[in-house]
Formats: sequence, structure tokens, C-alpha cells
Amino acid sequence: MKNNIMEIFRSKKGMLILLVFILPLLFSINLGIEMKDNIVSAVPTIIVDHDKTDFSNTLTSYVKDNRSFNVVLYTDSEQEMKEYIERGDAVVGIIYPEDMYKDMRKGSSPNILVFYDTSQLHMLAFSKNTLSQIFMTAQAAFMQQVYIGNLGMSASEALNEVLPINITYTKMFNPAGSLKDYILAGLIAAIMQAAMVIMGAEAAKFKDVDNLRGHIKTIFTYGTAGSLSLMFLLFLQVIIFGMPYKGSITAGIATSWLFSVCIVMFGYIIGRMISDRVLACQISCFLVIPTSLLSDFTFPMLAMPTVMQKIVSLFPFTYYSNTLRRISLAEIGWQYIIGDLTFYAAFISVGILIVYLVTKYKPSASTSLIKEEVTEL
Amino acid sequence: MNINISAAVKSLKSIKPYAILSLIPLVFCLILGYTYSGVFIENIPIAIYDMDNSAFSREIAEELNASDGLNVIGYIQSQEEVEKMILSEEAYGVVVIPDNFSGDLNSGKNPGMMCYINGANFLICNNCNFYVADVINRFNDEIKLEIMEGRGVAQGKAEAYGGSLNFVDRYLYNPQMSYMQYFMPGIVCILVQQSFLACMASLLISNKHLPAERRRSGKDLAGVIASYIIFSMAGLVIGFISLHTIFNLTLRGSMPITLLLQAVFLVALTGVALTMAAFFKDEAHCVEFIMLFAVPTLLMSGYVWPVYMMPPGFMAVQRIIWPLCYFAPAVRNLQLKGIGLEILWGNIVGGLIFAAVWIPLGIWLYRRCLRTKDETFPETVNDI
Repeated sequence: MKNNIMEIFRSKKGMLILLVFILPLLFSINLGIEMKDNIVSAVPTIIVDHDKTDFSNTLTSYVKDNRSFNVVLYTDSEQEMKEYIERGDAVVGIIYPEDMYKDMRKGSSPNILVFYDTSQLHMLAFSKNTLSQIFMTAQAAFMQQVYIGNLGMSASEALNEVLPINITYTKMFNPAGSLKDYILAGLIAAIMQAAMVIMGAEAAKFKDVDNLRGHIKTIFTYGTAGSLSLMFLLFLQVIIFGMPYKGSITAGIATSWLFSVCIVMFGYIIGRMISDRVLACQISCFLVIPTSLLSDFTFPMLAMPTVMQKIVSLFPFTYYSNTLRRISLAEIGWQYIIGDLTFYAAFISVGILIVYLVTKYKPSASTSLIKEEVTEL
Repeated sequence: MNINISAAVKSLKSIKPYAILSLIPLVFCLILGYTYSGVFIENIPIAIYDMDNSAFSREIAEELNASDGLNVIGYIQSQEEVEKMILSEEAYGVVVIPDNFSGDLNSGKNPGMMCYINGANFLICNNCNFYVADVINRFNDEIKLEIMEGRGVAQGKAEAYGGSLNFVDRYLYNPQMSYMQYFMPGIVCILVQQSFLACMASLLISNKHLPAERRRSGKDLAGVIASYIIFSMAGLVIGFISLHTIFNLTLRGSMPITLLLQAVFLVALTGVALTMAAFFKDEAHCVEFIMLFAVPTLLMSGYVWPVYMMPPGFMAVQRIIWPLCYFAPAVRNLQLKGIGLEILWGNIVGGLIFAAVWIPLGIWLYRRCLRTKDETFPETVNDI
């Protein structure tokens, strides 16, 4: 029984089922568990309090009571704080200077120093935002007291003058600042596109199709299989791990399907062009997997050199990862993905042309096909 | 001139793994290094909905546009357009200046501005928030100063009260918060992993298909694996040096310690590779399987998602099944922070324990697989 199962997964179709359905499912569940904590929380923090007044204690309690932070150490030693951060045992270090409150009352503008460990860059922005809000609130409360005490203002007057222009920032679509909501859907797409391109490269070797219609049928069949797996994984994340999905379901299905067809087609072309199966798989993967790092998904295109912006705009993953994030976080429909669909249509059209040319000039997909069949026997 | 093509192809095939191990990291380091070479996210497109349309509101709009980080692409005329602009990503943010804004400000009514930002992309969102806040804070400071001076507070004292408590941020190790400094060490590590596993799959599976008498001995295999490890280390050094030289990647840590971490990692990974080679008959299948591990293994190594945010026990399981967690975060911390062995010894010991368990297991499975094959199929396709 055990050997039979092993043999199923060692066969070509069994391997594809493993690669396209089973492994991504395991990875997806693993990621869902890993990122269970939806928003940044319990960031290990150290407080160095040289002031030791009620005011500094109040500031500390604000930090301590916020679930984003976990104060792991109170100390007088800045050296100890730096050692903790160096070892990775703390990510944020806050230093209240000596006579902080006294200096504030004198109007001498003391500095609270906040140290951030930048080796966890994704977490940093969230910690910084939360900490800024805590300190700004404390500062505003103090300024209100100053205005009342020193300038003879009423409490309501002082409240208005503390912050003459009160600007409210509304972070649309991801108000809680969930890193998981920002990153998870795209990561699943990144894993799946590796599986899809491998499937495409393998599909090119499965049987000798001798007409364009046959090639297109193969590409669309495997593309559909890839998109079904991708959509199932996303569905699982929504149902089990609480990933949001607010946009149009039909638009999501359409864009996932076309993305999958694009990637399978790319793998298929490489598979047709390169006879050696191992080399075809390696080249397709080395060309496609890095696109998840090069797309707008992790590093904004706005910050890339112009040449790279142009290159990156040719990758299906650039469009899909962005659309997937938007469609899961915002109530968007077809009208916002027309541009993406146009890109996929153009990509598939060019792909079909290349498939036609490749098969015209290189009719056989695999010289290793016979050898492969014998090995399987 | 006679050229022996088959000999040339054979010789090229023999250098292929060494080329993969030493050059693949370099190629991807150059491409990704160039992509991530921009440090700042600037010219973020924003729109302004100016309901006040006063001299002061126009001054605010001009200051927002003058900021290096922002690019005011236009003015909108209705609240409905706010969401539309952001949903279509024509603008990442919209600043709304309310009706009678300057009138309210002059009468001390604390007018409220709104800034809507596309939160779907948090890097752009945070930068947009920062740039807008920077401009508005400058206006606030000026207004507060005027209020205090108007109330008879001396200029110097008013300035001091304006900044009654300052918060000074210090970004340790990567003050510009460059994405490249943060992410490239991880990329190099994953390239090392993938290129090594790809070569190992080829070596071990092709060896498996040879008849018993032509197969490499254990010592021979160990020799080839050692040569792969050396070339992989060369690949890592070349990758890091090129990133440092061309893209100014900061390398604060000791290179010998980095190589020690890498050697331990690759030895540990050898155990995993032997296990995979025992399972797969077909080299292509093994390579496909390996390729799928590139993204998930980095994500589960503690590099991107920190250990303190993982559920209890999650990292302990990762430490048992994949050795990247002993390598990638350690190399990043080493090169960013310049820490020494006294902090990293845990990673080395962890990697060695992993190797001590997985290598015997891998050897046992691989040998068992060879024995089974020899008993079942004395001759293989390669002999035909």
C-alpha cells in the first residue's frame, strides 16, 4: 500500500498533482498558521528610564498596555539595551533622558530616543507608527497643561491650540495595518506560480501535439488546473485563516484563471524549446520565481530604476499580485481590472504566436521523452 | 580541424554544477541589487480636494507638491472621486482640505483635515503618511509659534514650548531603511540553497541510476559534495562582493564566520538532499520538487515573519525539518549588525545537530534505495 502511494507520486501525473495541489496546500496551511497573528504584536521592547518620574512612568504604562509591544526589560543601562537589540532579543529600545520632565516644564525640549532594529524592516513601520501615536498623545496632553498653566487658556481653547491643524489619516482597505492581509495572498500566488510554470514545462513533454489547436488546448487545460488550485488555496485562507476577500468573486476568478494560463504558457514554451526536461524546468523556474521578488508586490515599482520598471511591467505576477491584494482588501469589481485583463490577453496572444513558431521550427518537444518512458518502466 | 563534440559536451556537463553554484548567485545578485538600488520611495502620486480654496489652503497644496516624496497629480472636486482615485491607483493618497478651513483656523476652531491613503501597499502607505505628516507638522509648528508669541511668550521660549518633547528615531544598522540592505542577504542565502540542492539532485540521482560497479563510492561522493560546498561558498563571496562593490551593500560582519555558517548549512542540507534523492527516481521530478521550496522555506525561516509573532512551537518544527532558519536570519544579522560568533554559536550548533540527525538518516535512506534497486533491477536504462 505504502509503496503503491509512493509509486503514484513518482509517476509524471502523480508528481504534477503533488506539485500543483498537495505541496502548495501544505505550504498554504503552514503560512496560515505562521501568520495567525494578524497584526504586529508583542514587539520585544526595552525601556531605559533615566527620568524616573510619574510622567515617565505614565509614558511607560502607555507602551506596556499597548498590545503591539512587549516590554522585555526595564533597565538603566543603555549598553544593556544595545546588547539586547544586537542579540535580537529586542527590536525597539526607548530611552527617557535624565530630568526629562523637569526640562519639559522649563521648556528645554528634551529628546526621547527611540532605537529600532532595522533587521526586521517589515515590522518596523508598524512599531514606529504605534509608538509615534503614543508619544504624540503624551506630548499633546503635556502641551495642553502648558497652555492652561502658562498662557491662561481654558481647557477647550488649549485643546484646539495644541494641534492647530488636526489631520486624520485614513488608511483605506487595511485600516488595522495587518501585515498578513498585505502579504499572504501574494505569497500564495508566488508559490503557485512556481508550480504552474513547472506544470507548463512538463505539459510540453507529455504528448506530441502536432497542431496549434492541440497546444492551445493543452495550455488552457493545465492553466485551468493551476487556477483551480490557486483559487482553492485562497478560498481556504478566507474560510479557515480569516483572510479578507471584499472584491468581486467573478473578477477574482477571471484574473486568477488568465494569470494561471499565462504562467503555464510560459513554462510550455520553455518546455517546447528545450529538449532536456531538467534544464527546461530549471530555466523556467529561474526565470519565473524571481518575478515574485522583482514585481511591485514586495518592493514598490515607484522606487525601482526606470529600466526595471519597464521590465517588471512585462511580468504577469506584477499585475496579478497587485490585483489580488486590491481585490481581497477593497470592494473592487471588473472596472478596476480591465487593464490587467488586457495585459493577460496580449501576453497570451504573443505566447500563442511563439508556440506556433516554436512548433513550426522545432516540432518535437522532447528528445528525452523515450528515455523518460523507459525510466518509468 | 577535428573537434570531438561529444567530449566537449561531456566536459561542459561536468562543469555545469560548478558554474551553477558559483555564477547563479552572482547573476541574481546583480539583477535584484539593481532593482533594489533605489533607497527612497519618492514622487508618490497624490490628489488634493481643496474645498476651502483660500490662499492658505493653496499654500498647503504647494508645500505638499514641493515635498520630494509627493507628487500632486491633480485636484478633485467631489468626495466620490476620493475613493475612485485611490481604487484606480491613479493616486495613492488624497488630502482633503475642508470648507472654511482657514476661517476656522483663524478663529481657533481646530479645523480637521483628512488624508486618505491606499493602505493596500503598506510601504507606499507609510511613506505617503510620513511625507504628508512632515508638511502638516511644519505648518502646525509655525502656527503654534505665532499663537504663543501672540500671547506674549518670548520668541525663544515659544520655540522651546513648540517642541516640548521631541522624539528622535535612530534606525540601527540600516539608517536609510534600505530594502536592499534588509533583503539581499536573504536572497543570497536562498540562491545558495537552491543552486546547491539542484546540483545535489543531479549528482545523487544520476549516481543512483548507474549500475553498482560504475557507481561512485561513498568517499567519491563525499569528495564531490565537498567540492560543491567550496564552489557554493565561492558563489556566496562573489555575490556579496559584487553587491558591496556595485550597489554599496554594507557588509559589517566577518566573511569567515559567514562561510562557517554556510558550510554548516550546506552540510545540514546534504542530509535533506540525500533523503530527497532516495525518494525520487527521476532527476527532473526532484528538481521540480526543490524549485517549489524556494519561496516557502525563506518565509518560514524567521527571516520575513519574526519568531515572536509565530504561534508557540511553530519555529521548533521548522528547525527540525529545514535548516535555512539556522542560516538566512543569522547571515542577515551578521552582515547588518556586525555581530560575532558569541551570538551566532547557537545557529552553528543548531545546524550541526540538524546535520547529525539528517545526514545519517539520508545516507541510510539513500543506501537502502540503492540496495532495493540493485536487487530489483540489476541493470538500468543507462546501461542499455
